[in-house]
Amino acid sequence: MSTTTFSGPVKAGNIFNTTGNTLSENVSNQGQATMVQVGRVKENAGDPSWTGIVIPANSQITRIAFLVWDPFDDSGSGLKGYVGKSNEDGEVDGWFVYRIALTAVGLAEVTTEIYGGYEAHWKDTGSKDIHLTFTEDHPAADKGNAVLIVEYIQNNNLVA
Amino acid sequence: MAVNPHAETYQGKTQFSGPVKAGTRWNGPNADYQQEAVLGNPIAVKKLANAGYVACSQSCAVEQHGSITSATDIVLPAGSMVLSIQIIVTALFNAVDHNDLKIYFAKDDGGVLALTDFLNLGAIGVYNPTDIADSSATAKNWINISEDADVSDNTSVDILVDSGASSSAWAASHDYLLNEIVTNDSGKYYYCSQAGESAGSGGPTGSGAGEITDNAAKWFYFDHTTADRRNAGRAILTINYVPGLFTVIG
Repeated sequence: MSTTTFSGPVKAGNIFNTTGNTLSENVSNQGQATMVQVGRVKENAGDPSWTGIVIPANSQITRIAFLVWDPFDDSGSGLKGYVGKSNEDGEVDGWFVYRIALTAVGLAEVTTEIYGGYEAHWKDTGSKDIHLTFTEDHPAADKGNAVLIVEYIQNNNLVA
Repeated sequence: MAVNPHAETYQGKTQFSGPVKAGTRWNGPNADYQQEAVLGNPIAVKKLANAGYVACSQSCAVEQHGSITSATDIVLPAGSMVLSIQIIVTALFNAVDHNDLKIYFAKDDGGVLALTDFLNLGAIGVYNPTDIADSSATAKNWINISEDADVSDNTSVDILVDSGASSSAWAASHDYLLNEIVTNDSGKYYYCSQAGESAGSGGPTGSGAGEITDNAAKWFYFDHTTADRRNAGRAILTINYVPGLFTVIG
């Protein structure tokens, strides 16, 4: 299957620019395509681990989810997963996801599992590309397997 | 398909045969660094590819009716990854035990594989199911729709739904549940309007509009070939996916 690649962002809508205030005539109606990157994550002793997911600068994260096919080991102590970041400014575990349970087969959607004060990282990932990392509380278990799904709007550069 | 009032406006649509990607760096050694220790990474992030895939969607109308498995208008390319599923319920479903809707896809041999468990769609609204699977195999089918050995690696996949309206022949002295469907009286269809134990013989008969008493259970006749109270459920099913993702990244 052939692949078409753009530098992005990819936008669509039949009115490109706003030149007036009449809807359907001269008010821009373009939206940006939602982008997605996926990477395999698993329990292992080498945490934090690379995910292979590199998010372009100034992107808006719209969704993070785990598709779990082998449950992670909770060992009765509430062990959790974290999604962090790495770039030339350093590495921080839990930059995007803080303590999510991955102990059941299926979709684990990130909702409130965000560290207090880190919510702004979803709004704008910052001025530099970031490589996402994965960490979990029981790195020696070598049991759980999942695909990390990250949906984002490339270079949306939100300021509000 | 409903008439789109903007069809003329959007005639200039752009279509691609494969996945659409976007990013400022298209190629990089990212795969080499999966599962490697972060602190041991000698390559700067700016040397890694940051191109992602455009998420695609297909939608279709779903109606609750008598057949167990019905085809939808959704067909996914081989090797696609399902990202999420959304269901907008516009009219309540009313299957027995709230087993209202289950989503499948077809295998090469005509059998089916599940993408979700049965969903309870007993209220109008938007559903984003996370109860997708009761097995690792089902979860892997989301990751690669062609994962199963009985699904060809090169064949598109039909999406099917079960709207929970299966039926069975009426049985004597049986405890029936609300909305359960039976056939009786030369193949006529009846739905249970009051749960309870059926009579020792007979069962509901006729095709009138009135409620039929059957010991502790009660029934209404319905024409299963047309929309009626029993077949009330209506929804829009949307599947978000990346086409052919795993034929690209392996």
